[in-house]
Amino acid sequence: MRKALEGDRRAYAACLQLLVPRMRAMASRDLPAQHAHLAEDVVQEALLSIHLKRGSWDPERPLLPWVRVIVKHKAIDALRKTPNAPHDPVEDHVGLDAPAVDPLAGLHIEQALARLSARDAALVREHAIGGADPETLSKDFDLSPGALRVALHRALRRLAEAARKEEEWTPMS
Amino acid sequence: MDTDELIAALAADDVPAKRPRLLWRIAFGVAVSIVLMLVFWGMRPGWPDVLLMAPLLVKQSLPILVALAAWPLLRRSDPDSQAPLWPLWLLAAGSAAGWILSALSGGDILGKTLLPCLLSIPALALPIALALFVGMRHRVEPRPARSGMLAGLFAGGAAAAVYAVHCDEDSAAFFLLWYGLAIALCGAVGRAAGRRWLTV
Repeated sequence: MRKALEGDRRAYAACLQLLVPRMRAMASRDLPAQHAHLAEDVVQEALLSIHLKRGSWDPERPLLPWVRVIVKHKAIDALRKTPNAPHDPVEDHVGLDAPAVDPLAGLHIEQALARLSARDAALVREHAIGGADPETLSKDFDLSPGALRVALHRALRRLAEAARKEEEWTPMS
Repeated sequence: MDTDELIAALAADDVPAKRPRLLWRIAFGVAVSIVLMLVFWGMRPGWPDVLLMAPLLVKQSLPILVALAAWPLLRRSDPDSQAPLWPLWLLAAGSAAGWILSALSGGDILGKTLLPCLLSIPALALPIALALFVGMRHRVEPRPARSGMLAGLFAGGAAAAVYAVHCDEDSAAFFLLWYGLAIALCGAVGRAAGRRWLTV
């Protein structure tokens, strides 16, 4: 993370990759069993928050307690937003194989993406898939490389805002 | 979108991280507030000469003490640390006691500039509070309402000290009550704003 703050992007991605399993563990410890399916949403929201507020982490101090605080409060927020309906895990039904990969993982962030403008959402997706080089991207979006960076940053900020908002996303009919 | 894709998108964003830099932002906000006061309100005649006389000294320093008491609560390196609120309560209790004493001994409670005072202090607090909130938006705020209230109290206290340079009401019965209320109002607005704008 210290390297990341100095602008080393690869170190940053590696750092986040390392953090994710520990954040998952934290999130599932914070969430009661019937809401365990929220864990991945909590991790993703916490990642957005870590990204946008990494400037406030004091490099003199250990990173994990700081991450711990963020995950804990994101978990609290997630629980507050969730109506108290009991969750009926599909795994409990005999005859249904529990899917190895949770198909609902990332649904929350998809909903948040759906609330962004089409251009913002496309920007985030293009970068998420990776490999897309800045040259083609700036041609596709008709932006100079500098403006592209700023546009991505703003899109991520709006994404964090949208993910935090309480109102449920309802698809337009 | 799965978590790996999100990480890729985050790592692609190389706009440098914003630092909270509360001290710098506050210095800027206070400077704006002082300039506004000098331009639109004006310094009271002979302010430096009366500065060291008892009522003005109290009027100038009490709000500064409020701001100083709120400051350690705002400034913390660990997002979850909690500092006790008692210095603020102590100041409030002391001011209330002082106000009762001076009101009983016949001080002028209503004064002549009640409304300007109640409006000016929040107005002068606005630049300070805005600067503070911008900084705090870059920070992890586990208790948004509390942080917002402290930011409001800090801005209100600093603004009251700035306004005291203009205000020529020297009755303790006046300024303890109305300055106190104006600062409390700033705290209440800050609390609502914090709940709305500050996040983890």
